[in-house]
Amino acid sequence: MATNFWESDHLNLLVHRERLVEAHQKDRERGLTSAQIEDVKVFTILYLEDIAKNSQNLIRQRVAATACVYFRRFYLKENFCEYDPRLVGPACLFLACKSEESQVQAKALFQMLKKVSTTGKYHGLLLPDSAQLLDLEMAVLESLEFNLIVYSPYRDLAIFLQDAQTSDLAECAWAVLNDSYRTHVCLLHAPYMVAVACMHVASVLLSRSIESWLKSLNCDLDEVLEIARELMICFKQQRACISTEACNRFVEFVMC
Amino acid sequence: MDKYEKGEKLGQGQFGVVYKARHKETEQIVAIKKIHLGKAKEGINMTALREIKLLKELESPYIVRLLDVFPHKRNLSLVYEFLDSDLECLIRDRATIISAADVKSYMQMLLKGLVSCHMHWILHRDIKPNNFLISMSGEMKLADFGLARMFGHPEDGRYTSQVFTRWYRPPELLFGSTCYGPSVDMWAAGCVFAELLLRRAWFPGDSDLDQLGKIFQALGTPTEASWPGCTSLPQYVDFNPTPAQPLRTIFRQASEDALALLAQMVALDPSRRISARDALAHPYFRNAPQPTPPSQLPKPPVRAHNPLKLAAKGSSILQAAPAVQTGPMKQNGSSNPGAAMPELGTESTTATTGSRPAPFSTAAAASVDGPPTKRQRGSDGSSAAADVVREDSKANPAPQEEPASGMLGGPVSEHDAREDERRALTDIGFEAGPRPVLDMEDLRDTRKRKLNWDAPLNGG
Repeated sequence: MATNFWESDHLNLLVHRERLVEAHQKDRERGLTSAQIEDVKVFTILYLEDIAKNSQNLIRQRVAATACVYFRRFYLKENFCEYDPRLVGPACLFLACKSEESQVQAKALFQMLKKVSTTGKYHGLLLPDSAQLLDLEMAVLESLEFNLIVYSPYRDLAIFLQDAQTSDLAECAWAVLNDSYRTHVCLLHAPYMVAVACMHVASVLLSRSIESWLKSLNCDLDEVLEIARELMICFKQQRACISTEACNRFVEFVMC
Repeated sequence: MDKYEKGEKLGQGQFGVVYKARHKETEQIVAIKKIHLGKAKEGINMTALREIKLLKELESPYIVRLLDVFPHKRNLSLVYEFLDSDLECLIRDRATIISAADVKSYMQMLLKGLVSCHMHWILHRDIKPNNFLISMSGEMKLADFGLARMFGHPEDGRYTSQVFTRWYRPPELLFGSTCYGPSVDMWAAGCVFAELLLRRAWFPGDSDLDQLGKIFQALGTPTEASWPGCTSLPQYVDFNPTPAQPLRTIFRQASEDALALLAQMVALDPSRRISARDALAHPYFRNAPQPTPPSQLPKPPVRAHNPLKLAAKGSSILQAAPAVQTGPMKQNGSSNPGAAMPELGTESTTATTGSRPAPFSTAAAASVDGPPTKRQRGSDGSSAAADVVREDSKANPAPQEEPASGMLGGPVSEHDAREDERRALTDIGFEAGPRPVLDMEDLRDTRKRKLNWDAPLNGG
């Protein structure tokens, strides 16, 4: 996060919705449905967030968010049958820690993975070994074509909250933004648009009107509404995160 | 790799080898830095990652271009545009005359490079002459982003103060500041400016404490009035109050406007230091003489080796011509050149034993106007500071001649290879001495510390 978004590769890397349909061609051929693919992705993203939450502040929210973006970008090109998402996820997190300037040693990461996976809902999840982690890190780097700077919407959101003088929305909007990584919006829309949409969703959830502030912005409100709709759908569906067994089943289904 | 025809080896750095190469189709000459990842337990290292991440994003005629990155076997290859020489070679080359207009031109290019960095929220953190590469057509570009990082994010924790080669390290970092901005690069840019004028390093300190001594001797000791907050920096050390010398006494030949700009670039208080953008708008660049157009700048001497510096070695050990026997240089720098210099001379000619400039260090320490008080850094309660002192004394064994003042960094440790290089350089007419660089041990140390210091203080 930093530098100039409008001159950055992040801008060029935003994709159209059609790209999402084109992705995972091989996985589809092997019989996974779009919903199942998305389930596996959401599962992995929540897994990464849980690792970060249990890291005793070694891994910050922002780093986990960057890892999620790497993860989603990686699978725009690659397939589960070639790269196991249960291993790619930790590799994305490992890389994101470095690129966000808070390196975590591989050993420490393995400890965290172990801790998270021995108890509770991630019991029985496949863990990468050291060689796999490093190989996949390189695979991710190459697939991302070494474009590592990710603009996160968190800073924008903080500024917007201040600008709209709606500090009461802060907590809700922040939570909405955290959850936005369960959807594709980070691939489709510029981070500041995502931040505006999160404000909008939060205002709807808390029944507060920020219409006048939204209108004062010089941005495409249709796009904001589109993002907001997507986020709302995600929340409404309340798609329960699949179990570790289900994830294992889906992935192993395409692997063999 | 198939796209390139590999040429001669240009240098060996900390993480790999640099080759000259030619693109088979476009015929473009490039430099390829091969980073070996074979046994690395931590995967791609931070230095390489920073360089890739930031150079991918930066595009400026004043910053070296990263043309391509590709993995090759267990290596990672970084392809840069190729430049023949660097600013350090030029400054050290006695045969080259650098006119006032040339200095202006170089400073303009230097500052434009920095403006691009800072505009993109990037701190370079290793500004020094040999990181400015010069092409045969006279263009100068900033290189080596291995220590660079982005700044300005509200969630950022503290940054490490262990950046910059010591001679270019700003006083706030020497005092252990972990919260800083673009002004750190501006200090170093000021030191490079001075070096262009003097043709030798302005503050060639041989320990962190000596570095501060040299700085304060020229610019005066800071006080709470002149630099609010300085005494509360983590590793603040009291120096005997010394008044500032007029810059005119150090830079005899420089123009009035040049000195005015220099003074603003090396303001001790970082908040009063001029920004890169403001510096470019300084009257110095508008007044006569006009900056020389790049194509008419003196042709830089072609480096013997190591065009793209990798962290530490190679050209960086060219000493700042310690033989200061020539007139105009005599009265500046160390207040006691007579005492210090001859010893350094013998040091460099007898540089076979791998001895460090012990006599110089003591002589210089004695010559510093404000010898440090007994108060030790780190003894003032800050455990982080204490850790640093301990780590450093481990990393630099045998600092016997430095009275237990816990000097950070200490003199550079020497290796046989480096000695060889130095002797080779002495042979070709350079007076070589120990030029402090962030060597491998320093870097390892930095990384160790970074893990602690860059961690969030209290969550995100």
